[in-house]
Amino acid sequence: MGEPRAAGPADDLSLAQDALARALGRARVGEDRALANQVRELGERLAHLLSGLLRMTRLHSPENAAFNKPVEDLQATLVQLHGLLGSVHLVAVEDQVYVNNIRIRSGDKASSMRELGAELRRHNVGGITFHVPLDGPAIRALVGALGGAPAAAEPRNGLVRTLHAAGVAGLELAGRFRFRMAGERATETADPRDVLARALAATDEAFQNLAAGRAPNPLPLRRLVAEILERDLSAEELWAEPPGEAPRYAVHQLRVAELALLVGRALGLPESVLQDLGVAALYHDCGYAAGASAPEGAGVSFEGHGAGGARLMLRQRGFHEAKTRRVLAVLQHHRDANERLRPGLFGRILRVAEDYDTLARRSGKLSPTVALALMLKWAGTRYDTVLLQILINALGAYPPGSLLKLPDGRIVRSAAPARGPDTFAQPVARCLRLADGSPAPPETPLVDLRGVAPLQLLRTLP
Amino acid sequence: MALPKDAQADRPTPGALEPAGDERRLAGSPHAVAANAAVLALTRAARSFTLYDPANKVVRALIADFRDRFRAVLDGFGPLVLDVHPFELALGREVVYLERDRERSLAFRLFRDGVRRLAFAADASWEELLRLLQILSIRYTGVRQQEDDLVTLLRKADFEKIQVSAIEGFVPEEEQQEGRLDGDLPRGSPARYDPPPQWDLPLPPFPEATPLRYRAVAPELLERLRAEEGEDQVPRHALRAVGELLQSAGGEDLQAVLAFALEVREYLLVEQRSDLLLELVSLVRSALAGEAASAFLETWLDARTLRALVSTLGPDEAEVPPPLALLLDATPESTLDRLIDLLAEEGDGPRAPLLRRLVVRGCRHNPGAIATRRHGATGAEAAALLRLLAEVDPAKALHAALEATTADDPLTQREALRILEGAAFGPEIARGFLHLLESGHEPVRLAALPVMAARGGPRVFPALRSHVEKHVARLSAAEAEAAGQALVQASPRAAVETFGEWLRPRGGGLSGKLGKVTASPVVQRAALAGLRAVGAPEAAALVALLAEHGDAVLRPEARAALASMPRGGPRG
Repeated sequence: MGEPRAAGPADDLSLAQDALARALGRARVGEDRALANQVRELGERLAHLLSGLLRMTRLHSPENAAFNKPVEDLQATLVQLHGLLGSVHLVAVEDQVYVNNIRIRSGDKASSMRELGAELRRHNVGGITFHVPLDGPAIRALVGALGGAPAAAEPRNGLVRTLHAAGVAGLELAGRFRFRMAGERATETADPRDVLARALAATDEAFQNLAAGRAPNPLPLRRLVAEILERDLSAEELWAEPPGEAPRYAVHQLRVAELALLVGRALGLPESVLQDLGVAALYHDCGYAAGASAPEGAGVSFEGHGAGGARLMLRQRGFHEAKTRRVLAVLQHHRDANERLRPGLFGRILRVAEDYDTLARRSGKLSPTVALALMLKWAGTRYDTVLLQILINALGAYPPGSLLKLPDGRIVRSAAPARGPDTFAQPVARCLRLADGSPAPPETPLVDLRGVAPLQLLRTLP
Repeated sequence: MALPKDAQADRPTPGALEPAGDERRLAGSPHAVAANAAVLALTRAARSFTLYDPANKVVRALIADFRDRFRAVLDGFGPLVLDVHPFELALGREVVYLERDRERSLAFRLFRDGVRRLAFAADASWEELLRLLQILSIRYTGVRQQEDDLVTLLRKADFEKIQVSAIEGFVPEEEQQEGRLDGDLPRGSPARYDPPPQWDLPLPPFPEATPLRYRAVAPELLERLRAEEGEDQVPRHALRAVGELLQSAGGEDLQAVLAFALEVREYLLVEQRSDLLLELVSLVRSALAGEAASAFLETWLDARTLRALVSTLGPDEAEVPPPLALLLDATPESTLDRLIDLLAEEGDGPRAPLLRRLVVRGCRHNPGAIATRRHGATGAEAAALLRLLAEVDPAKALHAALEATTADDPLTQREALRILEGAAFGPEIARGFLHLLESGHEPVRLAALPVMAARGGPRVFPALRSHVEKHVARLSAAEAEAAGQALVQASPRAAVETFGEWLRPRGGGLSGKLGKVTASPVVQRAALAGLRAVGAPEAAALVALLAEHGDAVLRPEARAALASMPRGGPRG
């Protein structure tokens, strides 16, 4: 304990000390120091070993016996890291190296980190993702290829072909990175579709890691949620149909997150709670991941996935209020609002968002408008009345994805959530078919349906 | 919650927090100088937690400095906008902070984590400044949170008067764009696992629809919903999560849930929500049976948790509330051990009586625990245990006290004396007193003298006399006086005779014939102290002798004593 303070009424500074002590205490109880240290040490070992191996290629062929021990060590390190984290992302930025976003402390080996970055840059490579731990021959092939002369044109692609020809699988090469300069703004340079693509990839990776028995790693998801929150939640790009190859589970999780954040923002939840809500939504059906370890064909039942998912969240050690909210949300997200054991706020929001996405999008049988209308009948029983109304207000009478036929014969799809109460039933829409029935050119601007009536709701494109 | 570092450090390690190398005071315009001072104060305050406990007065001073410097720059110069570069913070074109050591540099930490600008409004409140300090302190202490990084923490803080511009730390450079490859390098990942295609389906039936309408939601309804996720609700949410998980857990999942319950305990301890600790453990106990419950409680009810629970009791609380009593009785051995530790820690503090009561209560289950703990105990702990033993098992305590009279430990000996004082006098007790009289610690001897005299009376007179005569060379004034008074207390008549023998020895030689006092000053002092208490005519004569012929230092005291001595028959 600290030294005793002089007796007397608590002043501002004493209160400040108390507040700081509590904040630090909370941070520490939320830390899994053992895991953090392990990841840091292994990441550092990976970076240093790789750098060392590359240096050795200047003197010896990778087949030389001198490579035996470091290759073995690198393989073992990759195995351990993979066991903890899943995919291992090594990124070299300027003179810094990061492994899964943890900066590698170079200490007296700063030059080896610079060299590693330089070696990668020769091939126009900024990062390597190891999706699986490489075996010895693959490591030698990688090191040999990296140590060799870069291709004259498109060196990174050349490296990919070389590795492929050598039978190396399970890794991905990223382009070069730089630190974002002061003055640059994310929203000016990043395409919202890029955010979505990254969010889908991260959500999918999170699920796969749980299925593989790893602990949840919510920070990448939180960063993405924070980024989404910085944007306009009613931007068309956030509600467009994702690419067909995106995993369906990830699409659903992300869409539920967007819907939940719409509701949360309309509720006026503070930023920290909104972040927690978004992350909880991205994990909400994670209980199904437990099926990966179930006996063949057993899977996880609908009834069991809530509790199962909550228990998967417990793999992350350390107490954090976000984790607690997440556990409750995952546990309660299918509970009726009027159940005796009333679900918490997050559970009720997710129930509304989840059922809406399942009815409106996943089922493929209903128009989003009809989906909401059907749900409205159950306000007060299955669904929290206020939360459901908030979602209706936010999405509008014709939520994104609703097909409408205009009086002039054009067929449009609602492109974004409602702009406000005055345009509740008059969304902006993307034209799909021109009045003559021909497909609308992709560059056709959005149609503002303010003042356009009547609108005919369609279930499918004719 | 103390941080794992040198908690004894009260003064800054030289150079640890002072600007070093590049992190120096930079010259420039008055605004830049003030900004530099403010930023340095922020850095020092944030880094201080790597060296000191948050409660340390050094930390307090640094927080005060941070507050004052920021107020000075904001009040004096208006809004403060700092651009973040890899190793610098700039105010417009002026560099107001420069530090290239990555481990020390505030700028590097901010830049690396994606922060590009910090803008403070002139009226930024102390609350917001403190929140910023909290966030930076967490990052500086190296706590690696799985939930947050600097940017997410800064965004969560939802500052009104501090604007943080933050984005992804690094972005694709792509100076050399390359084409997309046909056929990617196979990822080779282990087989994917996807949920069954019909996951969450079918939904329950929805037979009827209701037309959609926009309906405004009343602000008070929104407020009520927001309140469900207020920060004050987190402890309750945590308990609820534990409870619901326990209801659904089975087999191997139970361990994960119990581990979570322990995490919740940690949180409640940090938040000082001792009131909810009992609720938490009740939830778990009601879900577990027998061995499982005991095993959990052994881990759960550690020293910190016990301290927190005991702190919910008032110092004068006579009865332990039933929920706490059940808990304490559930793991009697380890709990008793920990309660004894708490008591030893408390010493003579205000909660000592309460803790003693709890220990005595706990001894019902394990009477031998205290005796076992006494082995090897020393100092305050040994004394406390002896006292406890006296409450739990007086017979054993007396035996232990007699043993303790020979221990070379003043606290234990004092406690032993207290116990002997209450015991029926006999040869064993007398021996005990004698041992205490032989203690190597004067305070023990001083305390033992009157008690021995009072309890032993004439039976101990010879021993008391012998004590003075044997140790005359080393007796202090205080001990001599105490011994003299003890002799009188034990037997006034024998005491006066003894004093007479000491002051007028037979065959005292010429000095004796001349009435001189040849006894040592220590003996004279002992006699004077004793004679003062007697007041008999014979005593007065001896006092007069001392007043006339005693040691020069004692003569004034003797005269004063003579003047105040009553004329009359013997007392005592």
